Amino acid sequence: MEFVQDHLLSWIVFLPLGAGLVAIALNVLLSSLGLAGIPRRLCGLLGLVASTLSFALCVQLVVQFDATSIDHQFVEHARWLPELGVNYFVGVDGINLLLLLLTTFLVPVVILATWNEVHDGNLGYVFAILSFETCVLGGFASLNLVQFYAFWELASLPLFFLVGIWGAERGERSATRFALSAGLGSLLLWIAILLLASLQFEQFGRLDFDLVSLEPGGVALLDTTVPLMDPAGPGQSAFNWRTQVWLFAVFALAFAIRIPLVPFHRGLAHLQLAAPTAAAALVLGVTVKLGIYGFIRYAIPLAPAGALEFTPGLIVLALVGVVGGALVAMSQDDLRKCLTLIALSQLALMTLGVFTFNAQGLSGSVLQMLGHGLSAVALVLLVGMLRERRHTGLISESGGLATRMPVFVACFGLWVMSMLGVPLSSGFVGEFLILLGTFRVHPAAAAAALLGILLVFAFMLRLIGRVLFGNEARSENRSLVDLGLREKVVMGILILPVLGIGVYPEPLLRRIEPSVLNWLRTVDERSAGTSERRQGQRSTEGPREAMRLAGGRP
Amino acid sequence: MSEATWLRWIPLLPLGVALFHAAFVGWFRRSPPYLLVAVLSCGAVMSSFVLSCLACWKLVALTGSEPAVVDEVYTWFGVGVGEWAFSTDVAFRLDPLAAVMCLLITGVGSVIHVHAAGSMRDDFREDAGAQRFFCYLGALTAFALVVVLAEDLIFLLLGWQGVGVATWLLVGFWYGEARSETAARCAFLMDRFGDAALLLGGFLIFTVMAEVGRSGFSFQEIEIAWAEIASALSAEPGSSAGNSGTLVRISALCLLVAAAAKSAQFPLHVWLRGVVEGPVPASALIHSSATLAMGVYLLCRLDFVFVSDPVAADAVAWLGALTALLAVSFATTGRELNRVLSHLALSQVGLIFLAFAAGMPAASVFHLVTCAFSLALLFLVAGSTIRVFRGEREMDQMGGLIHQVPVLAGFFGVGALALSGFPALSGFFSRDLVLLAVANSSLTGRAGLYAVALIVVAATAFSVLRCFLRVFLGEPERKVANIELPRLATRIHSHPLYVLAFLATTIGFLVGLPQFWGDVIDVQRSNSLANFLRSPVVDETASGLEHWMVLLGLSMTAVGYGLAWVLYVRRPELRTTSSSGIRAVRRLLAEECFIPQLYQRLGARPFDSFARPFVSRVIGPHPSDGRWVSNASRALRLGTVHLLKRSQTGPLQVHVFVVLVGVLAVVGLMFLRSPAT
Repeated sequence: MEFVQDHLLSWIVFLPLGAGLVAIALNVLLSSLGLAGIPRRLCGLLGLVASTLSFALCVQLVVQFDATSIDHQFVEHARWLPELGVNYFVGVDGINLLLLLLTTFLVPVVILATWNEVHDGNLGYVFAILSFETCVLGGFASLNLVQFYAFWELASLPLFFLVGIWGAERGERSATRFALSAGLGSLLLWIAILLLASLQFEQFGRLDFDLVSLEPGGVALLDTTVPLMDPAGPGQSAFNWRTQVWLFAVFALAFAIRIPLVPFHRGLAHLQLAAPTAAAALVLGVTVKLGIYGFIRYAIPLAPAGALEFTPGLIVLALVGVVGGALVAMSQDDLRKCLTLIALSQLALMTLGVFTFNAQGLSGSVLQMLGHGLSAVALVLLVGMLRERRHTGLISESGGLATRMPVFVACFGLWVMSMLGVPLSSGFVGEFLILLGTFRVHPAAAAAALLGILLVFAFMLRLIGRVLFGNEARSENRSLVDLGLREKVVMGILILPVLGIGVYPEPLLRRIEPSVLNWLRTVDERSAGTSERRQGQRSTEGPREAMRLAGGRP
Repeated sequence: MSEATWLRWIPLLPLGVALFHAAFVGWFRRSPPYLLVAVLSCGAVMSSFVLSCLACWKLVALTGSEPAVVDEVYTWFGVGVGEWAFSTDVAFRLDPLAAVMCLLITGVGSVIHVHAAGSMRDDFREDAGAQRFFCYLGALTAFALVVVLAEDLIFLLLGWQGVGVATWLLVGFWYGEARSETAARCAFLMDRFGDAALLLGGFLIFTVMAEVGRSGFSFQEIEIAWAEIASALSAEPGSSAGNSGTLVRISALCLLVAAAAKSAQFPLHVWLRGVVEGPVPASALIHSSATLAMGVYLLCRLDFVFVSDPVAADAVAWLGALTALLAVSFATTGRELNRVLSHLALSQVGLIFLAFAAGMPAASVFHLVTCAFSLALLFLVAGSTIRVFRGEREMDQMGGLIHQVPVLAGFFGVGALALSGFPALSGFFSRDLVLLAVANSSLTGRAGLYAVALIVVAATAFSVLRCFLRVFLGEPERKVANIELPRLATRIHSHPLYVLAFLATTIGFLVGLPQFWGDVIDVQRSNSLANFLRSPVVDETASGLEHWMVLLGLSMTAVGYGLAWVLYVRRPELRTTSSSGIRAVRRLLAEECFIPQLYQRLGARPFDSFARPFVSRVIGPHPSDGRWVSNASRALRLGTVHLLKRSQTGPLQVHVFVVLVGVLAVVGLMFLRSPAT
């Protein structure tokens, strides 16, 4: 066990992939011996066990996590391509802790919820889900930019196969489209990496893509100075303060495509339509958060002045996303597409929280990523259960479900309420913090976001009215069967943490907050000197954070 | 101040039972025995009532300037550093105002629960209906209790939104009926609008507090900060505090919008008209002490915000007056029994807003209490009446019920007299105090407000007596064969009515006798409610009740009674021989000034016809979305083929020539790029 304990984070990340690889090797061995492969039921079970184990380890990680420390914990560092500065470097702080927990929690739940789908698939299907989990976990745990890029790229691959092979009829087309737009995002991220590399090479003469350096005197991304001022004399450096702006712009575009914010939302909406339930749930619950996480972890700390430059624009973009997502969702006929767009509206809200540059907004965003992941996944799974019964997710086909499937309806209502941030659910705390943070900086933006939330709300009420109540539009709906035991268990498992966070979020916030304050301080330090150019744009909580860390909560 | 760790159980008992019901229904899909469900729910609310009584007893025994019983459970959440830090607790605080509201909610709540257990028994149309109903009803009670017991604004917000959710669930209880579903949605939407306003108001308060160097959302902190700002403003007007003065005013208006949404004030009153689509006990609770009362409570809790700002006070007053006038005029012409009662309840809440704005929160709370009992009684009796007429709600179709079910007529009569302010019944005293508050206030347009209040008093008396006369006297317009007589005397649900009738008759005399009458019967400090609330304003003005005010109020009630008597008993032909002008007015009022239609025209319809297609065209995912990708790639492919096939001309020498040019170009480039040295 000590071996596991020493490399806890790596075990969490690679356990799913490892289990999948072992199973495939076993399958190849068996079939080469002329035997039948691993039975399908066992495949599903394998996925369930492997991901549950990973979750159990992650729970241990959360328990052992030191909430008072601002450093990265459970750090593992191994040289990989030292000349290029590419290392295997993982670590956990308050910001990615909850995302790791969310991911490991959701995968077994999703596998359990889509048991029939898993059963129809085969070993490849399970392997795709497991490797997908590893890629996403690796992305969240990385502290090396190139490693992050690699995991981020790789995550598209299993997704592509999941949608292309096991998706709806025209799945390949949607998958290809999504892969293309994801590729565009990756290209941009790669450009950002090259830009950073040339900066670093100019300053230090060598490369290192680790975010922070472990040994003193080392070279790391956060030690690299991205110029804030134009160079003193001409010809000294190819870079000026515009570099920082460009760097952030490229980063922001890459991550905005990944989230995706509103102008880029179409690809995801189509992907969701075609994806099998498990993939759709995981994309909406987990993968989209990689974009926001990228903003927090890389884009803003590496180019804070650029970030401040773009903040007003991004806030407007986020607001457009909040309101636009709701408006677009209203005109959809497919339930899952609808939910996707609503979820995008809320992702825009989380992005807004990040760009408030204060403790409330950012903590709210991080907490909301967790809560939103749970409720979005639960809703997609519920729609999946309906699709399994009715073989359609069209809003016009459903209606009057309340009389036939009361438990389904109760769950649906509960999840919608949780997604809308009704008190006692996790959404309330997250949303409240984000809005409070936003209000501090831009009261008008908070009011606009509230308007958007109200729109989402109005729409969801209408949706509930049409799908759950109202008349039975089709005679097929009369013979629908309510949720079975397995499905009820899944819903129960998902409901408990949401209620728990809503009632008592303090333990989580206590773990998030030191890292958030540290993050604010980093951004503040790295953007020092910009204040002359842009008064009033700097975050204000960084310096006070040192005081706080010295003397506890003031 | 005193600690009491059991205070938390006042809201938690009903909430726990509601959660139990929810979990049970959700998991098993069938109810435990009906008796168990009913006893659990009623027991929980009654225990809350007993606990509230205990807490009040403890509170009365306390001395000091700000007596309160406090129960801090844990820190809910908190984030931030410096003056922007805040943390909010799950903490309950029972001060006199909270105690009165607590007793009201749990008292009326228990009565309604018991009544529902008896009267609703045969009405649930599905397996688990009863459990579902008691779950919602318990949740409404519990969240209302959270609102009144919350120590800070954020925790109040939890209860506030919870009340909205529970109201939505109750109104939409019969989800199969389209009317019920639409009404519930409308109620919830307006309610969320109010929530957003409250949230904005809270943020503004937070900002203002940070500016004066305080943090947090606790009501006591806010009050202190407000006092500081007020003194700073009065010390040097136009200083830097002027900015926070503006913020203070905006936050007051936000809070007003929130209260108006919850208490259904104009123009957000449209949600209330649908509440009667829900079960009868639910609408009784919503109208009397739970949802409608929450807005009033919010105002009273934050009264310092409004007292210090004349503009905000004027806004509250005129809003209340306008709502009261509109609602009562709808009530005078309404045709459906329970809808008329709903309008009457709304007009009383309008009066309560008015009294609050006039600077007498104690009077408004008193009127709230007296009206709560009579309204609960009226709603429950109206429910039984409608049941007797087999679901017929139109008063045109009713009549003569006094001969068949005299008990119902008695209850309704008591409720009607108490609500309209018959001398010595509870509404009488509270009405006088409300009128007194308006007369003595310093509001803009005081004379107009006073006139409106008088008209509302008269119209209330008119319309409530009209209901009584049409339903219980005369001949039934349509003979209902085999009227199903509820065996009231033998049923459990008649006993709660006795309790309500008793309280509706005497509560005014018992707790809120104005000093004017106290002097008559020689009792010192007779207005015990006002003294309990320690409202400083009341002590000065309660004795200011003059003979002419009492007489004027009484005569307005008499005018209302007389008009109803003339129009519906003595000269009914007067109703039919009306001119076209009166007909137009009646139509206008019957359609509720076309305000619901206006909402439909301005809100929902433009959206459906314009915005939605526009949005789906311009930014939405569209079926033809992927086309540009395939088109682009096809164009690229065709274009390259077209260009390249030109080069395939055939002759060998051309090819060799092209290769030579290429080689020369590369060599030339190498020369050019080589370093000059």
